[in-house]
Amino acid sequence: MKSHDFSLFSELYTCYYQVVARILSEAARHPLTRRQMENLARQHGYDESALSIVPRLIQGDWPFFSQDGHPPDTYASVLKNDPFPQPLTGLQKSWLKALAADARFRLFFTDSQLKELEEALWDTPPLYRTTDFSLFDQYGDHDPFSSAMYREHMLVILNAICERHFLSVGYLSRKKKILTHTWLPCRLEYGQRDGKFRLYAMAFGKTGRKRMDVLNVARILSIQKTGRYYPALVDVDHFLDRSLCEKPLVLEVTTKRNALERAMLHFACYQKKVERQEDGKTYRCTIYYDKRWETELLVQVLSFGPVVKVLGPKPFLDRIRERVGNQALPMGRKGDSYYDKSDLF
Amino acid sequence: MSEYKELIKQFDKIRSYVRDFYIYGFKTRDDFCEKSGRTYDNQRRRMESWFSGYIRTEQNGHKKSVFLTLDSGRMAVNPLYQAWKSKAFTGNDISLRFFLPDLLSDGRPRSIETIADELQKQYHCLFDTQTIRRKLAFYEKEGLAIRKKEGKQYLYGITAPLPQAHPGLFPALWLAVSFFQGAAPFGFIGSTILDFWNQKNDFFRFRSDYLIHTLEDEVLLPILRAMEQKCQIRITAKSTKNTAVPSSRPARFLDATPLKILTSTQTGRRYLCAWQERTRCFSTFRLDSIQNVELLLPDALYDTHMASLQRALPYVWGVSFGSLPKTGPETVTMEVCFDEKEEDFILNRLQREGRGGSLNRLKPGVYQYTRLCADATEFLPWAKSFTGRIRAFYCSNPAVEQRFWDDMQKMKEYYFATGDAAEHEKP
Repeated sequence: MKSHDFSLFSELYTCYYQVVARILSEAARHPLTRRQMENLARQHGYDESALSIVPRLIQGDWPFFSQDGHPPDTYASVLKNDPFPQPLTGLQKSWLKALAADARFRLFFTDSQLKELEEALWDTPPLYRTTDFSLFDQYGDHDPFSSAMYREHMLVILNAICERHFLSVGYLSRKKKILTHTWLPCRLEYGQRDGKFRLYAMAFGKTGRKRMDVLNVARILSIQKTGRYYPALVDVDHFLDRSLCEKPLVLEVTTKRNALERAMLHFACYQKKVERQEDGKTYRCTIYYDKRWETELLVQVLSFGPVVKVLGPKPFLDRIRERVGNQALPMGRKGDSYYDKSDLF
Repeated sequence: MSEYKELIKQFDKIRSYVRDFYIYGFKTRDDFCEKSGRTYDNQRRRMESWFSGYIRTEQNGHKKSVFLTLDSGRMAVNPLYQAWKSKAFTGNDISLRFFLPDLLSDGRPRSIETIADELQKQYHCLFDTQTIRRKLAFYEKEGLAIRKKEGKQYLYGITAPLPQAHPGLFPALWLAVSFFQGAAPFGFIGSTILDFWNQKNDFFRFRSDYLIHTLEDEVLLPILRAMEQKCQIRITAKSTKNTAVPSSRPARFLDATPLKILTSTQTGRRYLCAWQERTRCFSTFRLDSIQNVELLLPDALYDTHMASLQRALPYVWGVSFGSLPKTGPETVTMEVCFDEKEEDFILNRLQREGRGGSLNRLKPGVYQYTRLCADATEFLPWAKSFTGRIRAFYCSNPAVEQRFWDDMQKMKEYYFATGDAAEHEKP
């Protein structure tokens, strides 16, 4: 079987199958009521899936349930086993095989696990080769994925996130100071642009107040378990909500130089709203962003030049105006400052 | 008139709708004039159902725009993967999808006839042997079922789930899949693995993630096959320019030898880089402009083209090869000023974002950056991102230099001309 003979758009991966599998998995433990099936369908399906799925299960069009010998209004699975976990398809194995050549893949496994996985997938062709792709504009200082120390730290962090235990971390700060502190690792964030992992970790201040710190994994110097565990799940998004902008960025985008298409793709990763202006030639784009990344957004906006204009909010506009105001123009051009090219070349 | 269904039979029919709802968001029913209004209504209803948590509506007069908006950095799994999970199926499909693995999970291979008998006995379902045979053949093709010959008949079994066959790989493999479903090509496949294991991604988020790439994966697969087999392909492509407005421009057909997939981590675009024999130069095609890919014969000069590409790539800033290899690259130079003590991040940016350009310290606080570019126009957005700090900008292509300074002047005119730009700001 060649890896590319598989189909991506296949019934095997359909959402409805997964909804039914989850209902059957729950029913493997106890018979279900219609209401329970509907709740599971709403939780795991599309918005209207429950309307299509549950009647077919109840009426027996999809004959996975029986009412015989069970309390009234409950339905028991006719399957002998829990449907999970399901065997992987060739496409899925082929994707896993392709990942094995990715430098980041080793970060998740011990050497013996890598060997075991290699043996498990020995006859599976990779779906693609990493050399088929080039991330041509990724920053040059990505994390050292091949470093033994980095890999060791990642394994400890991943384990700590899973088991919710505190770590004692030695960390090289941005100001080149070595900090040692105890953190509870909660989540890892990967930046596609810079190829860096950032650890979102909760710390307790002297007053016991919780805060969420962000650590660059590559700057971790030492890491060890403390033996202390945290009993509850941490809602990281709750902490991040505090850094959302109070006022969104408002841009005016023209259609010149295909700017609308370029800008909409560029800013697609943000929560945004786009409105067509009455003139039909310009568009108003409202972007909701995290204040921590404001400078990055500002740089992105500047890169579009005059085809994307900032309308507000005022603090953002002031920063743009400051940059534009500081920009010198060559002698002979209309502007508030200039340089003489003959001095430079 | 056919009844509305959440599920669909063909993915390419909804690809452009998902893209328009997500990328643009301002389009109203009238803008989708390539198909009937009823088709739009059905597709809109599907979008509302598939992406229910992220759908917003905006009323402008009597026109309503429905759009998809989300912060990709907060997403555990790309919501657009839902579109891939919408394939329609039949009653037999779903019945056998659960009964066959349940029956065969004991590891004992069986003949088609035995399977049919046991399905009837154990689950009280009657399937004809031809239906079972076709389904098992499909499962075998997809790698789920195993067939072996015993005597004169074939016996069928089901492959064992990885968590059962290799428990020592877990939870590491689950964590790896949770990560790569958001950080590797064809991440949709990773999300289906999580589905198959009844797991979810609780550990990773992805900053600056361009979710839209997933819609191109269907055309990417045959391109990669052609690259593996060193084949030429015939591409059906449609211009991506001005897709904000309905276009009647016909699709183009092009023959090319695919060599590389160029992925931008900053602009949200992915490109096929290919050799075009007709023009004898390298070309790039945005994957979202490619509608169909057909494999042709192997290209005997594939390795030669690849070697030529490797020589050319160091001169390419983005994805444009300009006139390479016919003419040489253009030279672009800029001088950037900053406070070395307080603004060392500017130096960091020049070093890490400079893509192999040379950097010289002319004097304290002034650095000169120089690079050879096949097409220096591509360099301009990065240069403009240093607005306010550029002391000099020079390019061997005068048109590029002219455009840079024209843009700087236009920005000054806009932000410092009559009136205050802030007056546009709504309260």
